[in-house]
Amino acid sequence: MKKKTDVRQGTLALMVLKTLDVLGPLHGYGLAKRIEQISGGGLTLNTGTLYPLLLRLEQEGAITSERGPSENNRSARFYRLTAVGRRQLHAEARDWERTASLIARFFTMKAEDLP
Amino acid sequence: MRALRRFLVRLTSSLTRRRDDARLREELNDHIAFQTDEFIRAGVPAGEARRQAVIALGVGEPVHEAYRDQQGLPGLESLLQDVRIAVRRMTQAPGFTAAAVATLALGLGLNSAVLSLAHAIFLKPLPVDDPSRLVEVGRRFADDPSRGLPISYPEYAYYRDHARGFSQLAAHYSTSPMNIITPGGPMNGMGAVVTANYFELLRQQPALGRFFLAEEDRVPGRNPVAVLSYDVWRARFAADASILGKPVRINGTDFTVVGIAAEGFHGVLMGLEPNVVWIPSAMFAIGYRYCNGLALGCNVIGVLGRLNDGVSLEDAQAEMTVLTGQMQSAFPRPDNRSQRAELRPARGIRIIEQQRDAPMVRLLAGAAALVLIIASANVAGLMLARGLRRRKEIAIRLALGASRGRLIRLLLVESVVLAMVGCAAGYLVSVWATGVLRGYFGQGGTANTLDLSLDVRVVLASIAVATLTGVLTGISPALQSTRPDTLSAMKEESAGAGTRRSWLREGLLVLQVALSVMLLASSGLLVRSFFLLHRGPGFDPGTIAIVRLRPSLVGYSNDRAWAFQREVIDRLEAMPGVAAASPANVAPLPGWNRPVMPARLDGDSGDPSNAFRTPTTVIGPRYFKTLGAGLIAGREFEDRDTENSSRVALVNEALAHRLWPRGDALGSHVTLGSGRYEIVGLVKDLQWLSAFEAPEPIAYLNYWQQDRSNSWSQDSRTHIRVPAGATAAMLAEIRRTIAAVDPDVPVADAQLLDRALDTQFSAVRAARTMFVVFGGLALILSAIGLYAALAFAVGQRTREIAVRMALGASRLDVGRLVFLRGSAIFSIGAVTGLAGCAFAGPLLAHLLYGVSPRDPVALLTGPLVLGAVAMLAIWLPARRAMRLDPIAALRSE
Repeated sequence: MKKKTDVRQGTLALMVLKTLDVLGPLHGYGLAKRIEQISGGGLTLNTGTLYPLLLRLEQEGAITSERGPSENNRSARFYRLTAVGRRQLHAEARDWERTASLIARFFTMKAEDLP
Repeated sequence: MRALRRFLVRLTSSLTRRRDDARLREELNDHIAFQTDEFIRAGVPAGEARRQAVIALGVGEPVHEAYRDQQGLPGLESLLQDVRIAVRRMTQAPGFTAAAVATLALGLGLNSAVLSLAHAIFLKPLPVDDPSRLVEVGRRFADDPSRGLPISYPEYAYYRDHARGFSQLAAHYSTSPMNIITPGGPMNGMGAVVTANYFELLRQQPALGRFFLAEEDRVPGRNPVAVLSYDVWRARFAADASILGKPVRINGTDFTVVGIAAEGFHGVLMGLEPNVVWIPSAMFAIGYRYCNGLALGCNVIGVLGRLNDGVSLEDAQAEMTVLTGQMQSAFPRPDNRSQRAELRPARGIRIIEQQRDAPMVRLLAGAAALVLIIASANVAGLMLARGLRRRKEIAIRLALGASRGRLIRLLLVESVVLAMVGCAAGYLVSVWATGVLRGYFGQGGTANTLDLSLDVRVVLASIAVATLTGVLTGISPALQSTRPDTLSAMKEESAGAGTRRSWLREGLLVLQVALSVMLLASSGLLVRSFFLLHRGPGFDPGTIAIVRLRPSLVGYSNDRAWAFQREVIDRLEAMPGVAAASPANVAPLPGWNRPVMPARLDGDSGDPSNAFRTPTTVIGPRYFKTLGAGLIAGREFEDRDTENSSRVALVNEALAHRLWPRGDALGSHVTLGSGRYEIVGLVKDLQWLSAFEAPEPIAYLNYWQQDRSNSWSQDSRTHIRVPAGATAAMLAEIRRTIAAVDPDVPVADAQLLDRALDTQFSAVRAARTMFVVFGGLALILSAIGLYAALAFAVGQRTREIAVRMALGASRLDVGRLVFLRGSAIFSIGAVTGLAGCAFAGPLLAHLLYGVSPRDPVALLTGPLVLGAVAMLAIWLPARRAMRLDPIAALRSE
């Protein structure tokens, strides 16, 4: 069984954490829709990736979950960012920015810029 | 940190098997419900919306799988799964399992026993609080580090006053024979003379009363106080608390009992007789008689120290090295030999016994390892055979996509599980084996404190050995049977037993035979040396009781001691059943130290320093009557030979031959040391060892005519002739008779001579028992292994044999083919094994008596028996091969 890597490995966790950070507690379906929406339709989330990821983040203590009523009065499991998760988010965001700017410098590099 | 937390969560979820599948199902259902709602809002009809939602979600199973992978620990779980498969497989083949487990149990059990022996002898900490910081302070000559040198009290005091690295330094002399008068009569036990801080150093609490005060250990001879062991207090003083403050007579002096030691505390010398009483070092004169225990040069004490916190053994060693140098200028030795201090953790038994036992333990460990290797090779052979039979199954698994690594792991798990079960079953074997070993190590089987009970470290080590055994046993069968020539394996099951495989299997067989031959030959050597040793002395050691009487311990005058010894002989000879009794200074056992004296004949004008030096033995009247044998000519000592009559001596044949080659010993005179003796009797050589041993010349001197300047000439090992089959009751009666003469005189080591012999040769007996067991096991295992493997090999070649026969080979040809192959395997193994013996022989040499390490009888007996078994194991399959019906064999393919 080969996993479709629609999302670059490791980045989905960051997206989940950031989404929960900005939007507050969300249930799994809502989270999936929000991430797809934020990506401007550029991403199709694989549910087979999302739910195991949520479990892993919960085991790591980055998020917690509890059941509650949804906006249309369904009962659903809501995920919430914890303090640990927030720290993890900040750390990973910094890492990501550093990597991104590094890569960006390579992409903007021109031969005549170099001594 | 995160990874750790996650690991713990997953571990609990694995272990509790709390599989939260319900949660995933709930999440997916929620997801579908939300999706359905959305489709409905978008205008899709309700029924169709749900179908669309399910489709959008995708296939359920991969999600489940990915989810589960996140939940537990897949590695651990699949391992557990492998274990379950292995267990199932084991129960499916009970015959194979029983054989493999029993084989491994024998090997592993013996190894556990030897491990626990080695642990008790070399590693076990003292059974006191916080033993890890206790060190033994020893001393050696710088120019002869092979021999230890005990310390004298003033030197101990120097260390104690100057060493900074220790919170305490205590001195002890823990092998002091003490005679205690108890309400039930005198008892003899091992006492200890200790400094007042000994108990504090060991962090002991008294069960009752107190230990010694520093004040009581200050002035020599002033404070006769004693601490009794808990066991003695309970057994001999009825656990009477009012004993405190009361006097108890020890070695003829009244001591005040001030305390009772804690239950289970037996002193600091493990593996020796337990201490039953402690007295302060100021009372040294009561516990030691050969020199003044408090004086310089009386090197008898041991020193124990407790390291200060933060001080390492190396720091303390450095400090003691410096102090020893300074001490030597303070107390110069007459011979000026330089010494050095040597610190070691206080572990195991006394260092002297450690050094004595080390070669024996090494040998036992070697033999146990050999048995384990044979057992392991045997099981590997079985597994290889089984693996070949399972090739089809394994090929199918490979074809279905199982990775080779995973299959190898599965097979390894099987062999490790087998080894674990074998290890557990081996516990029974080790209980038996430690029983045997306990009887022989330590103090010849008497009340010794060698603690061989199970220890966590021994258990862990045993499990580690078992795991390793499992892996090593399983690795080659696992690699072999998973060789990825899948297709051919599925196609042609039995003919696939190609040359490489059989080469490996036969290699294993050769190794097995070689190891068995080595073991069998070694056991042959030991057994043979034991039987030669027990040729017997020409009289029945079962009819001679020996008691050790030491009036010198209680400081008697010569006259008083002598009167005591006379009275003892008179009363013993009056006992019903006692034919004769006679004092002597040594037991008639080999290896005892007999004082040597220069012997000069009348008219001998040579240099006295070149005179022949003969060993001497002191005996009383009727000594050879007591032994029941030995007098050849003349007479033995009689009651008329006294201190005041002329000096007389007996000589044995060896000495007579040496000094009077013309045979005129009787009536001649000889000067031994400073005394001139008339030879009145000629006696037989006492031959204890083997027929090959040159008998030791001995001059027998009269007990009553001894030089009395040494106090220990008062002492005796009194021999008593008792009826054959005498029991412990007789020994007790003898003790009572002696105690009735004078209860203060210690009576020790009362035993029959045959028991003393057993004790003296306990190491050889232990070796014999263990090696006979090891050798027997090796024989049985090798025979079974050889038979199974050969039978299997023939089974594998059924098709080939059938083809040969169909093509016209005669039954004889086929039989010869099978037979020759088996014989070749055995011969190569046997020759390799005997060659190995030639290398290993010297290791055994010091345990052998009267047998050369190359003794052909001993070396070849075992291997010949094995050879006979092997021929049988080869002949039966060969016969079966000859009777094969080629048509039936080919058809069954």
